[in-house]
Amino acid sequence: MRKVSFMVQNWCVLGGLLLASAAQAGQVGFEGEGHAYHPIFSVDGKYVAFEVNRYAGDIDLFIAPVTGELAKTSAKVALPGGSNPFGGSGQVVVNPTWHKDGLAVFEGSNQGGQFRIYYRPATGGSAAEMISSKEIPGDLTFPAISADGRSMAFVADETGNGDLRIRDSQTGKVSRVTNSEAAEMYPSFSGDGGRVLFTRRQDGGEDVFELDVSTGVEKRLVGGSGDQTRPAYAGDAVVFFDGSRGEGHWDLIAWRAGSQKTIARDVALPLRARPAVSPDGAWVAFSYSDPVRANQIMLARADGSATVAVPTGFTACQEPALAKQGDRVVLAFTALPASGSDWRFLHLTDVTDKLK
Amino acid sequence: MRKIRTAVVAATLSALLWSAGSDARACDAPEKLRLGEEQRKLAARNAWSGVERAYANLQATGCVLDFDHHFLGAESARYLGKTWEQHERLSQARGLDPQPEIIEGLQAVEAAYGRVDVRGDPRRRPVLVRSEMPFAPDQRKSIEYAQQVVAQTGSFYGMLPAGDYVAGAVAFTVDAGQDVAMIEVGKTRSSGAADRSVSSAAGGTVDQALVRYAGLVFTVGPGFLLTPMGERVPSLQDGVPQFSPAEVAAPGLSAQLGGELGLTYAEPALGLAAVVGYSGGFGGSDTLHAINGWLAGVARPGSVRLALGPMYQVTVGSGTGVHPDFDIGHDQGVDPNDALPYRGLGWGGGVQGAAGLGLLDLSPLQGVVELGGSWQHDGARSYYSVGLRFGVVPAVPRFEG
Repeated sequence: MRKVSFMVQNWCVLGGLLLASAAQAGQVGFEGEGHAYHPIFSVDGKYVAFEVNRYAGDIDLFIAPVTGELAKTSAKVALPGGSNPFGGSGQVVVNPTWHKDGLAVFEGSNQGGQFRIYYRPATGGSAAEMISSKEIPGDLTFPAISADGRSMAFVADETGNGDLRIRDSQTGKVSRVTNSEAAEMYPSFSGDGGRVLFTRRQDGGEDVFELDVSTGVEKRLVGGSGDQTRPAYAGDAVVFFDGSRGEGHWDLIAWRAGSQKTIARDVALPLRARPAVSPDGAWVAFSYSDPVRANQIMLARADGSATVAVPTGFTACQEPALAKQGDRVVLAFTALPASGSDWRFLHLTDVTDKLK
Repeated sequence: MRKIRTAVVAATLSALLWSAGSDARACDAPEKLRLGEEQRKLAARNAWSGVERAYANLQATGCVLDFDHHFLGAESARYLGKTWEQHERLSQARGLDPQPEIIEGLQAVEAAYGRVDVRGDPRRRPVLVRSEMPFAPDQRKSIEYAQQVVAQTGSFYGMLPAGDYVAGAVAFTVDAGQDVAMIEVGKTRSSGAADRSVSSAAGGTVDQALVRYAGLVFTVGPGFLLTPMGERVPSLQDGVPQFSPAEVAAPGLSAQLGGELGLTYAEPALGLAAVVGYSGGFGGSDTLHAINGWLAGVARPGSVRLALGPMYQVTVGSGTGVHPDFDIGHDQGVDPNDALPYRGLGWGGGVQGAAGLGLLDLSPLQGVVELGGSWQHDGARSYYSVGLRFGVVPAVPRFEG
């Protein structure tokens, strides 16, 4: 009897281990400890870049090769130089985006230094500056790249106002495309590269604008009370986070030809990311701020016609991102374990069947 | 009896050989330390041209360089578009410490670049064109560097980002990771990638001027003149003996003034120099002044200058001591030959040469030290001169990279 109970006990332990392994099957590992945030897939879906906040003054960027739900060992991105006049070796590397040819582009700062824009091939190597400080001094932030890879939009703080600039990779020239005394942020290209969404903080609130790249004409799409922030194109719509209902309340809105539709209310605002739009622009991923409903990631059609829940087995799910790998669609998200205390990890799951 | 004074200028030859043998210097460890620190500070400020200069200076110390030196040298090469050099320096760093970052860096280069050897005419330099520039600034820089090298020299040996290019009228494709593909502008030997139907307007060529460089030649320094006695004293038609002192060997001065033209663009640069020269000997009771006109072919390999060519010289002299033929009928106890005065001049053709080494950059001129020598014959006797001269010659414009 004692022998049987011993065997049952062992099988239970083994079963528990197997279950734990299954829950973590899509977990993306990284060196050291910290909270994972802001996953961004490469254009072909074969790599994911994500931030890890060490909560010791450092935020590292990691890049991991991805096949389906499986990620290989992630590599930390190191900025060149490394030293800084204030001593220490901490770096802050955030806001990744991708060029179609597999180059990760991101902001980076050696602790105490300015933010500059860097790039690094997904396959490895050292990071290098996109634009030298001799060309444009000051902080350079919010890199965004057009689908054809020819243009990069970013925000330059050279004048102290955070102006939108666009770099043409064919000529190497950088043009200043906004000229206001307010700060611009969050540029995002349309699929054809002819328009750029961005936000401008003015009159106590943040509004969404759209710029015609060829003419330089900008128009305000959405504004009003509160902040409307982090716009992204989703097909023929523009999706963004809307904070007009007051502090702590963020809604996911789709704007189309002057009219708005609420996709979801009280969503979790990501640390830095825009709404997670699928590569075909048809779906948007989000999570709820309500802890009770934060054990899942939601997938909604950009036209608001359908919503699908993706249970995860974790809690505090946030920061979703969607990618297409061949004919499969993969979802990345960060989450805390269902029980106990631990760091926030990055997870991958195949959601192809959910979108059918 | 005047004896031939032996004037061997061995010190000059030794100095020239020592300068050329600088590779044999011992490691300058303190300088290596200083340059290494300078390299690190410049890299922290993203001052990559300075980092590149520091790396070149580190190599010149003769010391074995450390991992950090090669790594930062690879970074500076990357920022300056010198991808081949970047790859070489990463390889050297890997040999010292095969860190994953170094191996990844080499793999990243191999994954995005291929090796090419574009060979064009330095006088009709092809234009290197790529239809679509890459997004990554270092790849763009690599192309711009190659374009600069081709524009300055007509050729390029290095690495280019994968893609389609045109050099002159030759189209070619660079594949990532490829071995050296030789592309001769005008005809191609690259492996099946050239399209001979490409219009010549796609790249084109830039013809260089007839004269590559032109400038002043001026050198001056100590010299030595020697004219041994001839075997006979030839007579002029009226029977008066020609100018014929006894042997004269006298130190003095050597100087040259003229101009030089560079006429070729291949290396070594070749050209012509036209110079008026002076050699003077002032020894004891003898004074000789030799003035010549010299037309020389000039070769300028690296910092060396070699000149050789025909000359025509007129020598004017006066002094004491004449050819023994003048003792016919003389009582040597009363009028010894070596006490008889002479005055006159001789003239004739000869050949002159000089070998020099550039030491100072005085753009558009170059400071040189040279050893020159000449031989001239006036029909009766030979005149030899040698001089160790310092001065200036035109600098050869070269692309330093």
